[in-house]
Amino acid sequence: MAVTLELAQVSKIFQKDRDLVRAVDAVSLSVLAGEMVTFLGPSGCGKTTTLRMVAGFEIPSAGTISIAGEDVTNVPVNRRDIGFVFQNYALFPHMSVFENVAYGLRVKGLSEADIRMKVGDGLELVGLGKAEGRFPNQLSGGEQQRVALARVLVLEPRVLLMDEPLSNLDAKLRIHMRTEIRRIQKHLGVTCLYVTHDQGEALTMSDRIMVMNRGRVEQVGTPFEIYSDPATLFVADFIGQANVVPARVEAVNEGTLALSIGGRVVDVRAVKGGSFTRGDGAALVVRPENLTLQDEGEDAPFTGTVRTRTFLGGRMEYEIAIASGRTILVFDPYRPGKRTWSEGETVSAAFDASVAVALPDREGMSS
Amino acid sequence: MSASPLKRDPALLPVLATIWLSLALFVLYPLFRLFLATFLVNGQWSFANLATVLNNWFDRQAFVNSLWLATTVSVAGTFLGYVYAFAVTRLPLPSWLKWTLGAVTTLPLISPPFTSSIALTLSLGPNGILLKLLGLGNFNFYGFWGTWLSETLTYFPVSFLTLAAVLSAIGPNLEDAGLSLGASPGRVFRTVTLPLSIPGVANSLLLLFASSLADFATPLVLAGHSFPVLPTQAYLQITGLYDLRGGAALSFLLLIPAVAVFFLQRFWVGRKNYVTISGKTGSRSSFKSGGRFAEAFVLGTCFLVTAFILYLYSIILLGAVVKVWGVDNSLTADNFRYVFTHGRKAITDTLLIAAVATPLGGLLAVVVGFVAQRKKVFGTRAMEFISMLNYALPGTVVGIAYVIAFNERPILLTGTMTILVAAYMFRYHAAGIRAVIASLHQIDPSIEEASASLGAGSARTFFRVTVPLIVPAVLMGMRYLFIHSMTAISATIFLVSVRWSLLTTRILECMTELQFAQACAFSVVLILLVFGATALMTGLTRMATNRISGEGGRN
Repeated sequence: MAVTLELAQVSKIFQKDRDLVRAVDAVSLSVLAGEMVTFLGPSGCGKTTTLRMVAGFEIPSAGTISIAGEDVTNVPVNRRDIGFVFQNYALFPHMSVFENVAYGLRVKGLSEADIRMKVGDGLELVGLGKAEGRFPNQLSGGEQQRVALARVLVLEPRVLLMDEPLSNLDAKLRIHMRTEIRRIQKHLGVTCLYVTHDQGEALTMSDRIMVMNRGRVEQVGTPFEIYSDPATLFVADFIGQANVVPARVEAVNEGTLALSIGGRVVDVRAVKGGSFTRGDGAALVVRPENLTLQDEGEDAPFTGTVRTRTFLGGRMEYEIAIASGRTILVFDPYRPGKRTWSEGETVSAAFDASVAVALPDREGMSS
Repeated sequence: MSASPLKRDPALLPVLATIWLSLALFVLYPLFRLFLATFLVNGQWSFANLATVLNNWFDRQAFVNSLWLATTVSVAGTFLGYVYAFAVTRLPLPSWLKWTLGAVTTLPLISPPFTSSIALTLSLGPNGILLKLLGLGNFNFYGFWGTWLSETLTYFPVSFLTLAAVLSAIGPNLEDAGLSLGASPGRVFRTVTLPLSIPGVANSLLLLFASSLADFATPLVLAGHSFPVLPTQAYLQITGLYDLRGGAALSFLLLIPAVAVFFLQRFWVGRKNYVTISGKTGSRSSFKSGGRFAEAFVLGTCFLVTAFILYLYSIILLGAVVKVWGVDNSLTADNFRYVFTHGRKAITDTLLIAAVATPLGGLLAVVVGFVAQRKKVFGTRAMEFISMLNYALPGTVVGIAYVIAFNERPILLTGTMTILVAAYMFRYHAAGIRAVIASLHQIDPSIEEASASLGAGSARTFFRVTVPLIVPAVLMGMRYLFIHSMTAISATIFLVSVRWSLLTTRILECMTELQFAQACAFSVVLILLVFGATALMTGLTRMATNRISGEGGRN
């Protein structure tokens, strides 16, 4: 039942006032049957437009979209056999929960008995078995979202598309609903695209993540790959927090590089597919939780003064001004009795070669 | 994208074709013929018709009078409307009193056009009771003053509604801020409230100017020969002198200021943001008094005007049940008997035509409003504009244009019910279109997209999802359409025939034959019919609104 989905060089150009805006720029993506892919990026990056083109609400200016190998680029939305979950749920306010969920089944012309059964099953699946007779305005935000989900799932769509479905819920419910959605998606084995700007959602729910920026694809990969091997500085910075420090390539080895940072040479991993030559500028990316602090030491790559320190319960956050005038961020897990540093103290930070990654410095940071 | 909506929505093309065809036939074609009748003399382009009118002293006077009357009515009506709006939104009045003020102002809005003219004639005309009471023997009420007074009373409620909306939208925080900075209530009014309501005032001035300019019934009864205005002159030119070209030229003169006002309103005032509501709005419960003197003035004005309106309506009622007004004041039911026998056909005809025009016009409003708001196809803005045109133009102009256009083959419609229904539909569906557009604005497009993504086609989505959600707006538009179909006169007067008799034209006939009692009885019956229908439709609207008051899916 699960189908593949293919986007080939899909672009969307909008006319805004007099200017043409390239909202989506040559996006290509292959989604496996039953896979859940998240589109992640800042607002205005084109992720929602891409999703709406897959749904058929927008027509691509160029490129093709295929579902199960069949070109659907010009098929109207109501014939695409997709399910779309909207950010604002889009429940029909003049219909009961039952009628909302039955809507698509009625379009298909199912018998009343089948409709009754399927609606019952659908509501059961999202845990709202008893709400049939109520109206959307009598439901909480989370319940409305589940009805919206049930309304789509009873149709057994070939592809499930979700446009920031959790962004209108409060934080606790959001975390509950994301495991719930993932559970249902796996249970049904339906191919799913999911748009979000919340990296936590993307990391926890997806098989793969497509990071977008300014209409272009920055990187597609599993959550692990995206986090540990960011292909671009944008991805490094957008997913989690990252210290990005300019450096110079001293030596190129098999998969690793020797970088010089402020006079000290350290070994780091080279990003997959990056090409480096000796003497190039490079950007060193190291996440704050991967730095370990120690009292001033000769061999540590970073040494500086503590600018601010913030206690967050589970960890200490330090902002450290290093020699080049930059600031780096360090997360230090906290246990009672552990050594902490105060503002103004000099401290050194070190990292393991395997946790830091070097990217080619395309943006010319070092200058 | 530009051409794709048509390709993807097979129902759209026939719908667009139907709308454009009907707009072309019933809006553009008559205006085009009016234009031809004015400027084409013996197959040649010529200003001869206009020149004849402009060289005629009397017609020139009518043009000047029309503009002067419209200016004075718009100023006086806006002032009165502001006073009422201020009282209702700013003064700490008990709620029943506010309700009464609001209710009394709706009376002129839904009454037939002659109501206040008849009542004023009975009080201030020859043998008028107010004249006798005040001992003003020979006061000549006909002319400017009578027309001005009657029109001001008839149209100020429009200003009241506009300005009440504007004034209640000004956040109380702004005025509180002014007071907390040390300004007196009067200064706050001058420096905060008034400047913020200026766009509303401008809008009200334009609306009233257009209404007065187009008003036909009031000057016909009250202006007399000494104070000619354009609509009545055009009417007399056509019905009295059988001069269609002269009438066309006069109505063209009337068209110029009307179109100017329409454009000003649409592209200047319409663009201005009325009020910027900043931050959270607090409650308006503890409103500061605006000073003793100002308050007394506002309340006194409201009280006087309200009392006068109620007095006028009771005159109509009294006039309908006495034998001969001012001469034999004994009670009788003869006048109503007359209405229900001789006027029976007028009642059934009027109701029938209104009952046909209302649903048809409602449907048209839904379709035009929907296409204009939701379908981004080339020409939808022009379509919306054209569909508002008959409404924006004075009824006299529309009536004359229809007479010229539909009086001969190929489209011979004069004397039929079709021409009356078409005139009403294409003139009074404008309120419905506006309401539908405003209501669609409130409904997030994702609701319709949800329906499409669940497999529904565009027709199913429209009838099962969109229409149920805009029913309250449609009903509101239909209520407006019905009221005006029952009470219209300015366009209709040119289109009635022996076969179709209307209540408003019967009232006019009674007035010209000085049968005041019968005119009053007809008016009372008409007012009651309109009230009944309005109450019914308001009830329906409320029911429909309650049913879909849910917030689910609305942003």
